[in-house]
Amino acid sequence: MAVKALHAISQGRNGVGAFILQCKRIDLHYCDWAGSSRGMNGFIKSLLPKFAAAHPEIEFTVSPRPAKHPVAIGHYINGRSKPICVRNMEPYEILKKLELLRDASGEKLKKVTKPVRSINESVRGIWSPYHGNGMPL
Amino acid sequence: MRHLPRLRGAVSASLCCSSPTHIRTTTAVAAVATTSSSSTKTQSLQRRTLSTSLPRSDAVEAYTPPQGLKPPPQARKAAVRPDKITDPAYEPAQDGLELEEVGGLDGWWENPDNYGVGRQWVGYGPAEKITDPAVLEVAVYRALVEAMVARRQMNTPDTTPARDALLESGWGPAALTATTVQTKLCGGSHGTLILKPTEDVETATAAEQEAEVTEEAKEQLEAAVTPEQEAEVVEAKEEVTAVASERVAEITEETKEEAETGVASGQETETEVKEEVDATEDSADHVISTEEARALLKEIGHEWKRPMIKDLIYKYFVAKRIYKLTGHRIPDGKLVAINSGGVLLKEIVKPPKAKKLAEEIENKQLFQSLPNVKVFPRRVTPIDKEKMVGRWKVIREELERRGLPVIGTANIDNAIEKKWVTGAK
Repeated sequence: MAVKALHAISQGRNGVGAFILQCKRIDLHYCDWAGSSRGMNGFIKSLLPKFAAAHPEIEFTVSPRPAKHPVAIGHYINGRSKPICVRNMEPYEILKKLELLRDASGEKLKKVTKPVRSINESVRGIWSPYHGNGMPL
Repeated sequence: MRHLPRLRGAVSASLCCSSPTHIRTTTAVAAVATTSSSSTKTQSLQRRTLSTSLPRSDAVEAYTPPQGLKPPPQARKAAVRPDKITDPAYEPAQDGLELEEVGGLDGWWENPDNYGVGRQWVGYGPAEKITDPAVLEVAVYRALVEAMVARRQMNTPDTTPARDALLESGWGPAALTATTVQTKLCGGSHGTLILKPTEDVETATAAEQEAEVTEEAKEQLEAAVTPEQEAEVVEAKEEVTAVASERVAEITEETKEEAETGVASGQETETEVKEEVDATEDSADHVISTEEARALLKEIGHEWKRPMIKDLIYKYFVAKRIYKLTGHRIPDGKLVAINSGGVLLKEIVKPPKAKKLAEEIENKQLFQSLPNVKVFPRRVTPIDKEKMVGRWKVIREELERRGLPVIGTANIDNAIEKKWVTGAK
């Protein structure tokens, strides 16, 4: 009996059936002494409780890293991570960076040249009003 | 522009005296010089100053150096020359390091004995702040009571020395704290803090009022109080005077005892005097222990925490008294905002500020209800990460089996590859 390969019937498309957040963990590192961590320390005390409560699907770890600039590192389900240095930033600036980490897919940054990108490319191409015979009214 | 030659010094000036104008000027200057030389010391002081205001000549002349201040040694003694030494046992030193250092200014400025007693700084409050919450609460209550007595007696000139002594006295004996704390504070008719009249005080009032407080003092006391507080004063007046009299009498007795102790000890030797003074100081200022404070707090209760405190002078007295008793200084800005005993207590009794962010997070329990947040008190090392996933045990066993160092590089040199490249030496 010949072995038959399984045909790929469908590809997983995040957000079509269910949406799984790509960011699984965010590490926050700070320094107790250094001035560049002042905003980070304030963020952890004032804004992080609310942000962490709003995102129960992300794991947050807070740990000191003495004599180093503060860093927020996002870890993604594709195995990649994205570190952002947040030295000398204000708490609300750091909040923006955390939102960026949350929304990121974890993929390498790529230059987008085509306006439309799809895994299901159209065989007919993109419709244009300037081509074809048009519709007589 | 025409440039004039610059005259230098008195010699050049004397060369220009040919014209009659210069002669007149020179004469005038000489006259001024004569006047100034014969003027008084005050005038010379006025001339020296650069300020437009006159110097305080009385203050300058009245200055006397503080007693006990020793000037640094000025005279230097020359050592006897080696060839003139007659002592046969004398042997000249071969090295300067062997010589003993005699005299000089080394350590002279640091020695406190060289300065007068008046120059030594004595702080108003205690050297160390009291941090025990129970003791602090008793101290705050005591300060509120004593400051209220002082405030009510503020415009009475007879009691001014006693009032100052009351505000600037320390803890005193333990019994004094217990007695003061027995005086109750409560809310008055306007919701402000007043002394609560008690039966004991009322009976004491009858006996002591006539002897201690004159009618004149009572009138002045009434004049010092605002119309709003008039109703409260009617209630508390008698009892206040009694408390004040008791406290004044106690202070007088304490002063007498101290004076007697000083006279008695003056006849003894110096060492005995020091021991005596130390003993009296210990008995005089007894900061209550935590257990004593807790026992007193049961008597004090919580009734005094809610009533309003509006009088700024009263608040100032309270702050001064608290500083003297506990070492906690309340800033003026916060003192204005403090409007009750409870707020005052909250301002003073504070947990020590956390030195580290992790401690602060733990104290405030910021992430207590969040299971997705982990806070580490120290740096998470690679070993910690291995331990988290249960791999460190395996790694350790394998390293030990191979005879490799578990932590660090042991005796393995970092630059061993360099030796291979350049050739071993």
